[in-house]
Amino acid sequence: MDLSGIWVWISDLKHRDLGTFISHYLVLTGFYWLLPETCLLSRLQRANRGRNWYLYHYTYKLEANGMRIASFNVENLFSRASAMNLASWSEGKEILAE
Amino acid sequence: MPAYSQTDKEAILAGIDRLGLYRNDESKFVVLRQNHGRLLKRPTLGLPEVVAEGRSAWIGWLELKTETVNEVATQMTAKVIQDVNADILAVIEAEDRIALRHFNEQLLAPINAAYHGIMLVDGNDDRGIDVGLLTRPGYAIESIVSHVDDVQEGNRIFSRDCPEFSVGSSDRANLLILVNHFKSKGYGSQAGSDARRKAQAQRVREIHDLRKSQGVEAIAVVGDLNDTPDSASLAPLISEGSDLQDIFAHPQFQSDGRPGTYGNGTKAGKIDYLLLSPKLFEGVTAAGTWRKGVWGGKKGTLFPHYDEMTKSVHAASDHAVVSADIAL
Repeated sequence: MDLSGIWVWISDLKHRDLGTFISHYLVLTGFYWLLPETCLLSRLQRANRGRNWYLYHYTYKLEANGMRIASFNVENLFSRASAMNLASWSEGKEILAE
Repeated sequence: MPAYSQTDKEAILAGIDRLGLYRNDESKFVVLRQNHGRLLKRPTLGLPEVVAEGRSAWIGWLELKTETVNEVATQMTAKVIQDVNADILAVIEAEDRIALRHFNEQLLAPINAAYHGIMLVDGNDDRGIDVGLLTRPGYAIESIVSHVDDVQEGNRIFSRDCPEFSVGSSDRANLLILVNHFKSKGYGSQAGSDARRKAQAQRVREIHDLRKSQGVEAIAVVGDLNDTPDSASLAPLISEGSDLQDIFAHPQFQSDGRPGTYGNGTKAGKIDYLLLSPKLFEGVTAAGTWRKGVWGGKKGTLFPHYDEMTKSVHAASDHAVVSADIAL
């Protein structure tokens, strides 16, 4: 188990805006430095520890100031006549014959 | 040019009806273009009538409407793009920008792999297989320079084009990407093809050197160069004093054991490239090939491919993707 990150006990919270909650919690507990704009929530683990109390484990991956570049020969013509792109030949046949 | 007879006009109207164009110039499958003059008049009340007196009285034609192909192979192309998840993706052999945009909307968007920036400039290939660039938010294409009209001894140098895409963002220096698809070995004499590829490589080198002299440090020459690194054709880019470096030579490049990028991935099939300037090469943190969209060997058993690919025609491409993560 990865023990890095932050373990927090949380009472029955409203999960609908979890991102905001995490931000507020980290600011209040002095971990605001973990919240650069580029931080990503990479994993969330939750374990129930009794009624209405939950243990949350947050781990963060700092996004490198980088990028991925790639080259791909798609060898593909992405478009074709709609009349030739049908499940059955009969519908398009009349159009093409015309 | 003879005038339309009454019989001709009746035949035209019957055809128009069969094509679903009785009320509108556009039907499910066909568009009637009436660019100069009019073939038809459609009164608000009453039936359409042929108003052109003859073929010379109007300029227009019928066009078949097109749409994105949604077959297994195209879906696999989308899946490869999804799995590679590049911020900046050079695409080779795409027909036009509209087709790429439709592909993006209809096949990439549903699998959360859509791109924001989509650019392709028509090139010299009569078949309409061109090179383009897809970019994610944060990597805006700020300028484009086309070399579609570069000539040598009266002939256009590039089989397609060598567009320069300047990709910028607010927090890093602009990146210059030259996307290429050099002359293949499949058509014409070998000597003629080799000479043309070499001329293309020399011209790309000139463009690279010019931009470098202008102070551009982050330059990537990418694409299908249709020849191997040890070929004389590619020497202007890979040797002969070039400071561009092949991503395959980077210590962080993770090989899957196959030296090539085309077909079965043999050494002779190493034809797809990311050639990086020193500034980019130094920043590489990871690199590799993605081969799961390729059908390897006659039975497709040479290396792993997507489960949906049950026969060779399902392959996304004969080419693997080459990618690199670069910290700037």
